[in-house]
Amino acid sequence: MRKAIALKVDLWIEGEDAPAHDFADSTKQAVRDIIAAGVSSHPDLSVKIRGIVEGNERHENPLN
Amino acid sequence: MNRHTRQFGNARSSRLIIAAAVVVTLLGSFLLVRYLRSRSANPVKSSALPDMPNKPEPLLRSFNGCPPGGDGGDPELNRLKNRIDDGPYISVPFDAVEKLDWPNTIERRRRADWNSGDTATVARYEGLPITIDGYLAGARQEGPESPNCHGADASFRDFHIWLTKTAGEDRANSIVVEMTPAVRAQHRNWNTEVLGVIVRDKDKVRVSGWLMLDPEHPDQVSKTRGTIWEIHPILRFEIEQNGRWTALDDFTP
Repeated sequence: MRKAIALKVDLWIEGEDAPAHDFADSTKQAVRDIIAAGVSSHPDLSVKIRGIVEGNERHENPLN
Repeated sequence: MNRHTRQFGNARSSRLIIAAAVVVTLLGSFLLVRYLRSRSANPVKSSALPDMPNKPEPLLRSFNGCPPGGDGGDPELNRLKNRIDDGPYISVPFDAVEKLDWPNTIERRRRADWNSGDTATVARYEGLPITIDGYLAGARQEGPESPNCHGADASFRDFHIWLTKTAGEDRANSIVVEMTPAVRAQHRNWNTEVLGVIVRDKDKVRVSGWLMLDPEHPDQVSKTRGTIWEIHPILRFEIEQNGRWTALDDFTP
């Protein structure tokens, strides 16, 4: 049976970078590279990245 | 009338109905576009806010290596968030900001992509140095963001604060007011612990800073905020104690 699923992945990434360098841009590309590299170990799966956006959920969090 | 003529008549009627439907659709689309355009071009109405055609220019400096434009996102917006100058604040009613409209065509768009009409509409009020009294519904340290160069340390984070008109009110009608890293660095007592005490005790507060429109969170209006207009950054924060206003730096709960 052919199956499909849309997964949302929540990542936290830290690293050194020049202050004014676009960290969102470079980490998005890094995540694409990481997924592309990992796909080869699962040849039975077809993985397509539909989009990567910077997380912004903090404003919706319930207050403690 | 024979059968052939009747069929011809039916086909003609059908063509007329289709043509009429096309005309109505086109006319409707035209009127809808005109309405939407006029809506975005309408000036924001608010008589409770002062007119200040010549607003102070933002004073900008890098903060611990992070330039005012940040490290991505919308550099123009980031520069507004990162101004550090104090202003000639004008006290305005809470509702003057909470009920202030904005052109819906700017939502989630970088300032460089706004049309000139929307830019002028927002500029009428953005950059006003204002003071608003209210109460705190909550205060939270933000995550890493582009205006602060995605700094991972706490010293690079904004404090996101929900200001409400009345004590104990829900955030749905709040105004978001933010303390930024560069301004916080000049105040020893601006921390989330002290703000938490003010939230808990429902103390009345007086917030002064720069009026700014943040187009990034329209989806949160009526949920976790009442408007996308913010006081951002906050330059002065006072608490009412025994009928007098005390600066947050001098505040002891």
